[in-house]
Amino acid sequence: MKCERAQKLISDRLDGKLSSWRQKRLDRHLTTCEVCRDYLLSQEIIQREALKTEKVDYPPEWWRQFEQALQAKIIQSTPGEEVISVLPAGISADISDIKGDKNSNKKGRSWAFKTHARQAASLLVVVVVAATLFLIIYIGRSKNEELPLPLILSYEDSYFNLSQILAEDEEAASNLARSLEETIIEETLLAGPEGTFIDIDYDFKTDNYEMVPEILQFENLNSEEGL
Amino acid sequence: MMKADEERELIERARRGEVEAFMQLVREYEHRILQLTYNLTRNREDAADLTQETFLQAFRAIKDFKGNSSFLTWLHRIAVNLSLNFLKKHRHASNYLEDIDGLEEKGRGAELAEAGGIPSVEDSWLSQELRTNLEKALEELPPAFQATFSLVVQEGMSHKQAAEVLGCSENTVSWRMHEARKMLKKKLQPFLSIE
Repeated sequence: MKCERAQKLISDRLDGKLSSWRQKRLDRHLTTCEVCRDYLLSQEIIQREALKTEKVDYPPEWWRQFEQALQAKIIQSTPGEEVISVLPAGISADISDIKGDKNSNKKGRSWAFKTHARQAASLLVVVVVAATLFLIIYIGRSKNEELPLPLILSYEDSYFNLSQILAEDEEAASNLARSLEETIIEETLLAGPEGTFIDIDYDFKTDNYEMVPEILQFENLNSEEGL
Repeated sequence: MMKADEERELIERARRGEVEAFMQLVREYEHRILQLTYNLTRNREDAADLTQETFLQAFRAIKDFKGNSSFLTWLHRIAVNLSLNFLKKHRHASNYLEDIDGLEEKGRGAELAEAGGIPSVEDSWLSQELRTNLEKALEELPPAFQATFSLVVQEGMSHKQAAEVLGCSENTVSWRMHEARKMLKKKLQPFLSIE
């Protein structure tokens, strides 16, 4: 065993923390190592002297004053009515006065802080609301200004293409007519008996679903609306 | 000595804000807390102030006292923490102490150089000198080491109890005791008389 390790075990032994098998190992080392034997003796002397250090004590009067001062501080330092005081009436009244002053001072400061904080918070809310409204209006306007032309053109193109397809392809025209008819019937049925009946004169021939040319004349329709 | 049931009841009443119940606990433990703070500060006035502060803090925090440790251990913990903070603020650490603080960071492998031989002369004045210088040497220990030494040797706590108070492991207590003893021996070398 190395001396450093043995001296650690000596320390544990002085604290009553050494297991019996470690104790045996330490004893074996101590029989052969004079340095560690001296170390043990030195530590025993230090330990003995440390236990002789001055004991602090005071007369009962000192303790009585100490306790009174502590009690007064406890009551002073505890806010609200949580503390159940058992001090004599005179002392309690004095402490209540001190507490009152202390609390009122504190209240003043804390209220002042709260007022400022509230004003700041209100201002912040106003600023945020104003900024949000501005953004909504600005974005809304931007959309109105930017979107229409390309969209209108694309719709115009799509209607034009559709009218061309329908004019050239009889089957497609009849399918579209059937689809439109089914949709209208479905919506009418969904509206129910008390719903508004949509009287649509779709003017399709029942035997041969031929589309009335006027409905599909998108070119004419568009030209009428000036698009 | 207060019975456990009586102590529990007083703690409960103190938790409800009853100052008188708390004051009974104060009267039970004030001497021990004063001795502990004195052992750490070596100054009667500071010790009295720290004892008062310990009980003040204890009353404020008693609602949080869960009873996981004994009430006395809990008081010790508050007193040691306050004393260590006090020592850190008020003690002018010498280079020696800084070296020792560095030692704790380096870990257990670090070793203090042992200087000089052990004097074999046994004189009565030597014993008196030893006691005076032991108090000085204890004061000069790094606060955590001083607190550990004080709890284990002067308060007679086991490593486990000291670890609870200090909020560290038993191994740390054991190591700090070993290092503290080495530091004390080095400091007291000239006054040590081997019988």
